[in-house]
Amino acid sequence: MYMMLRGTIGVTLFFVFVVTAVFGQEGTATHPDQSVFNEPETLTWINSYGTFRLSDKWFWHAELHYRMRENESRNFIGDVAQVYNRHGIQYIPTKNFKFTAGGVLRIDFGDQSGDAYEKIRLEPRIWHEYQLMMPFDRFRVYHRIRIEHRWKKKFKKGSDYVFGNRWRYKFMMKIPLNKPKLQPGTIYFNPDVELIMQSGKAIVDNPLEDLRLYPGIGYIASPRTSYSANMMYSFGQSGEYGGFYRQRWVFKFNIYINLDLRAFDDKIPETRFYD
Amino acid sequence: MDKTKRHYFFNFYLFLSRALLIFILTYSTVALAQQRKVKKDSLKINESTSGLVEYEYAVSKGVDIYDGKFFFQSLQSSQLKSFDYEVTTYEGEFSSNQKSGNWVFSDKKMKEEDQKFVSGFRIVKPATGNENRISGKFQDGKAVGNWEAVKQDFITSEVQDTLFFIESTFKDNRLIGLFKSRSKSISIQGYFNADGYFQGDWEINHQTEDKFIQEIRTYEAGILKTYKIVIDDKTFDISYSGFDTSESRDEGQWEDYSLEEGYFKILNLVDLDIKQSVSSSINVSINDSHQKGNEFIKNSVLAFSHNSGFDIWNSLRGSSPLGLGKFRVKKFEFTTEEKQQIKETAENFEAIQSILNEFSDNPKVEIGKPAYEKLNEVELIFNIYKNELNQLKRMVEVITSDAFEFVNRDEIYGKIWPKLRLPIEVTYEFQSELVTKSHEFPKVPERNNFDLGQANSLIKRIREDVDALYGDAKTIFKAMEIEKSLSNDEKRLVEKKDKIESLFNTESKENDFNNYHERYSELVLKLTEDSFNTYGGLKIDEKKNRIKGLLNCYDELIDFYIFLKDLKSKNERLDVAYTKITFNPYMMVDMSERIKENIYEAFDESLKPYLFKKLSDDFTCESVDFAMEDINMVYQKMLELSKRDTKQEEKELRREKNPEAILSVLELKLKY
Repeated sequence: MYMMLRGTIGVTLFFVFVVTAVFGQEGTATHPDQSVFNEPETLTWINSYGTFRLSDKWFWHAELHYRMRENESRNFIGDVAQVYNRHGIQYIPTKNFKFTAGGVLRIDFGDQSGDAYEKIRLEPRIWHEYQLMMPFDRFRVYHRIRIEHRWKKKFKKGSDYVFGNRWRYKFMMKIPLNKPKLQPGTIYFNPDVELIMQSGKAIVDNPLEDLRLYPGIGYIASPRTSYSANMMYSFGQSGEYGGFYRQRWVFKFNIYINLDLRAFDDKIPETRFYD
Repeated sequence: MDKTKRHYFFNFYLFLSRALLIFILTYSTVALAQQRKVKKDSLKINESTSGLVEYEYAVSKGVDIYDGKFFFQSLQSSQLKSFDYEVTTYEGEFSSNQKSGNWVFSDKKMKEEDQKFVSGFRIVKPATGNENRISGKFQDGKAVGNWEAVKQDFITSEVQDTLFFIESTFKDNRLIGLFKSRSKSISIQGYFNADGYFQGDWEINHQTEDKFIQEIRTYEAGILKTYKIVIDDKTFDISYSGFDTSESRDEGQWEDYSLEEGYFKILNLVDLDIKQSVSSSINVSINDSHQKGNEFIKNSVLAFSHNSGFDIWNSLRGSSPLGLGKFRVKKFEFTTEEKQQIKETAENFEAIQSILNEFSDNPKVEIGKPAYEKLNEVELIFNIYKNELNQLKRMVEVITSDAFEFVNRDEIYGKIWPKLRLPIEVTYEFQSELVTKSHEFPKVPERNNFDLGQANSLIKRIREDVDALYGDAKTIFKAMEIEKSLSNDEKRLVEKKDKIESLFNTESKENDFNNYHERYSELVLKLTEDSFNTYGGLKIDEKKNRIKGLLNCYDELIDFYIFLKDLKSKNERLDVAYTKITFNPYMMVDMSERIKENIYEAFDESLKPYLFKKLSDDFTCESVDFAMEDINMVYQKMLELSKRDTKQEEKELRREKNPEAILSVLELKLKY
């Protein structure tokens, strides 16, 4: 088990190194002598993750995120920053692998005032992801690759949409703390690291969009409902200039809902299906 | 009319007459031929003879009647070594269902030879054996004319020897006139009168290796008048003591008596009185010749109608029983009291024989003799009776014979008197010591004073004695059975006790020893020990009453071990039944959750502990039996509930801790 975990971490670091090297070559010449880290921004994300079973192997994945940011008077919960909708059709052929594809519609709320800026902008995306789960006796390890194709524009009026791609890799573990396995009543520890790279014509010297570190604690209330909370730290290159790094501290509160929408009779073999 | 015309007219008349006659005869023949039909069928002659029959018949009022030729043949294979096949045939004719014309009956016992030969287009085997063949004539179902019966030996299908040859004449279905019969060693010649009675001199010639013996029995209308035997030209006059040969028919009651009824049995009951003094060898020769003569006459006369015990002609329809000679004998009719005495004598003697045989065949006699003195005494007394049984048997056979009524009983009582030697005391060995005891055997009647009443009393008293002794023996046998049964049961009891102690020992090496076993170990061992000790202190009569119950109790405790062993898997099964496994797609993990939680918790946390505590508080054989039944019932109920809608029960059992209330909701009632 130790060898498998070490292998997983190794693969992750290798992926970060390679992607950083590939995407970082273009802006090498324009890098400042010293990187600049902006003051961290504080946010609160309240997220819901729904997975609804449609048939033996097909599911509907639905996320709704409500994100707030600091303002001048309050940290973490100052203003509404985004409302984020992500939907997809999910296919789980085996217990260890799942594939999802769908669309995202993010609504961004601007923080700049004046007639020159829009108050709201929309950001549509197409996404697809591939998740591999590695079972161990006491915990589970997850590897997720998510690729998004997005159309993004600035808040400034008259801005055009610019197409870009996001390349995301996530490493995650769920380690039960009070029970031997993940089951109802379990409190679990959830180490989570995600690297998000971006590419496109507009991406010149800032391929590293975000590196997110967000350990969390979760609770499984039932096979249908779980909760978790994370404190996320992330940093990434600013879109204005590659030498600037923005930082964020984000409180994340998540609820996970899994429902079976099949007819009653179809649920019967459920417990045997993956045996 | 002139002569020519008369001649012409006469010829014409003659022609017409002949034509008419031919027409009538032709028409009758055709008409008869049209009525008769031939049928092939199967036919059962008797229990052991069945075969194929081919016969001509006519239909009268819708019923088939034999009319015309008849042929029957039965071929049966034999398991005996002496012959392979028995072939029985009848061949003859019927007329309107009555035997008519010549008939032949044949019974062949054949053993096939190994050699074969060709006859026509058949490969056949010759046979060796013998044939019993009877031929004669019937008229309207009655035997008439000359009849013959012959038995011949065949070797390789050729006649080798004639074993006997009998010939006589029938008239109106009974033997009359000359009767001849001969075999290699004996020949007979005698007569039947017109009424079928034995008549005149019947000469029986015995040809032995060293001498010629001739019997002359003279009959007068069936009554034996004189009996002489000539041996080596010397004549001996013989009479029967107790058998009336008087000439006067007016005295007493005279009756016809046939060979089939057992005429010679009467003669065999009585002894021969030889008027001359004879040597013992002559005496033996006379008695021997008398017996052989009787047998030969009987077999010869009956041969016309009997074969191996069955009636040849009456087994087929169309004739009445043949009249095969008659005798006249004087009947000495029994009184009502004598009839009752004979009946009692027969019954009591049969009972005595039966008891003596039962006793000697019983293996408990030998087993019980070393321990029970009485058995030795009974055995000795029964052996004394057994030794005297042959004499008593001869007496009883004579008394109960049908022929007994036709002899003068007063003259033969002295000859059937049993000369019993019954002691007044018996001496037997018991446990290496000789024991002498007096025993009151029945008093044997005096020979001079012996009669039917005395014979009956003697047999009756013997039976009473035998009954009483056998009653004592049976009491001993019963006690032996109980002791044996108790001994076997106690052996089983100890085995079961050892097994229980081994199973519930807390240091048990049994793999399936679990927490439940541990919990009840002390209680089970204590109950076993206490009950065993209590049993050990009982008297033998009480032990007999208690042993079965205690064996059952130990069986229950052994079953209890298995019951406790199975509880673990029952719990697991219930756990599974009350668990639902759901796949969580977000975490990609199968998750199990308890369903019907209120019911399961009420059972697992309250009811189950209550059931086991209740048993611990009152741990007896009876409660163990009931507890196993009840706990199984609860588990079964829980399984049923896991499969059906239980909203109401779940509601009622929410936070319910009272086991009685839980049982009430589950609609269960305990027995213990």
